[in-house]
Amino acid sequence: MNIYSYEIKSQLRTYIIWSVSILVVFLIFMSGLYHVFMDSRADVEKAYSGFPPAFSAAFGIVIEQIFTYGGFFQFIYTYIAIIGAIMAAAVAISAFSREKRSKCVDFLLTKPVGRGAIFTAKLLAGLTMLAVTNILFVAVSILVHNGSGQDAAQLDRAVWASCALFFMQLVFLSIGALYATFAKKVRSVPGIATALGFAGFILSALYSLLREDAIRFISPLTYFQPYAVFSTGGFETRYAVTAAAVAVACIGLSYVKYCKYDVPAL
Amino acid sequence: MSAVIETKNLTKSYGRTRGVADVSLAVEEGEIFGFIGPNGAGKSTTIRTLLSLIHKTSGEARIFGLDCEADKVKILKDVGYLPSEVFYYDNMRAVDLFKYSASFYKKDCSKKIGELASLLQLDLHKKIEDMSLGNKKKVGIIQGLLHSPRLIILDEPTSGLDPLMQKTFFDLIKKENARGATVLFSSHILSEVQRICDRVAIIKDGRIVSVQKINELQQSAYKAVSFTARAGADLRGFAVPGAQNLEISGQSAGFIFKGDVNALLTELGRYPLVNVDITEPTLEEIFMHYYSE
Repeated sequence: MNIYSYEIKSQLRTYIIWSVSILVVFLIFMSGLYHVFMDSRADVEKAYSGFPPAFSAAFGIVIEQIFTYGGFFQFIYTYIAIIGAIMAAAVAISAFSREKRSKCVDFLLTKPVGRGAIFTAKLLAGLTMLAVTNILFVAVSILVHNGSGQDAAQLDRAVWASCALFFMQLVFLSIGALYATFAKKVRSVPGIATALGFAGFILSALYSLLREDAIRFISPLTYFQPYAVFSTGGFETRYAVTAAAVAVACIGLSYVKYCKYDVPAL
Repeated sequence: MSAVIETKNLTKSYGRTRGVADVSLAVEEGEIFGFIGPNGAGKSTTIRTLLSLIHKTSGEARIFGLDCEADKVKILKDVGYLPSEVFYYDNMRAVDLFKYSASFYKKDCSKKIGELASLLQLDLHKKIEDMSLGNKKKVGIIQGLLHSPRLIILDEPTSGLDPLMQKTFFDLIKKENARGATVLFSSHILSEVQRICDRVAIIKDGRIVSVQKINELQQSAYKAVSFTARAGADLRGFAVPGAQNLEISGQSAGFIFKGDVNALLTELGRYPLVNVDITEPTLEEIFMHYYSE
């Protein structure tokens, strides 16, 4: 419990900044910009017709969808997801490399607590932080949905679609944990997390351009698409399974590495 | 007496690189046991294997009769460790580190923290990263002792401490020892091991070359002898049993000596001396003794 609470306490300030950023960006775009966007449909379509198709695809614009609530949600999610991915990776890298960065691995690993228990406490701390953010995200999503005059019968879909962020963050949390446990040195948590987040964005943009399934399998930002929930009621099973497999594999490998590695002398 | 630390043929290798090989040791309850060798000899590797920071390749390592890897958590409840390099969390004050450290032992350590901080004159409310090396070392000492462990493992503990603080530290370790704690004291400085330890193990190239009582080590050790005679004295005839590596340069001579000191003094007495130095051997000279055997 002490490692768990210390981890949360250590990350609290940056964690709040990340969470507020996600919620504010979502709120501004979905409750503010959405209505303006819908009201200016003709102008937007005119402007859009001048864009090269590849450009629109790379930025997540699907003109056939974007003038629906689910389509606009998907468009905004593309960007929320980048912030969420960077946040989740940062939470994991920060937690699992904390002692490595401070050169105090000896301190923690010579306390009467097993390495498995330390790993679990850090993982639970990360999961707790992401869970709280996503509970708030879902709550805000419900408020926005209700406030935007959408059909109340579609609320369950809006809630489930909002969970895309949490599931995607779990994947990035596991990738971050893998990086932090295997890297010999971790110099900058935000730097590495941002690199991972943008790598995810580039892969998702590549998928949007090429529409190749093979690319989507290696593009974690596209595993959970909110639009799929709005249109079909659920996420696409094969990508959800891929996401679960990636997350379990990364966490499993990280756990084994954390428990087995020889701590080098300084 | 029973062995608090016991290793049998403990071996740690890093692929082709040597770590330690066939280290067999028994540190008895209540003793202060020195572990000495030059840098890179395998002291830290042995200690890190005992603490399960690294995993042994083969052999056995037991503390309190328990297996160092399988029973690590149980063992570490009663072990205090001071690493050679002291680093702690960024942005943490000493008092916060001690509270965090104490939280692992599930007992109230606040009184002991206060006593140790007062003895070592440490400002508990200062951030550790802003402290000097000596003060960081004090933080390490306190976090290693705050739970009154049964076994204290010290890896090069005095680097960074000024001579006065070293004395305070040695007094503290003796006090902990008097309380009943067993101490494993690793160092490459012979004089500090001589100052505090009951027995000593000498490690060289990853292998234990000798385990001796400190007084035996001193008796068996070589002395470094040098002298200068008055002008005109012919030193070419100087010879005494037990002298090695004799080098004569003009009116001066130097050699390493192990043998009857009376015979040495008699031989020296045959020359009109200006100066004589008979000094404790350096650690390297001690090792020469073991190389030659």
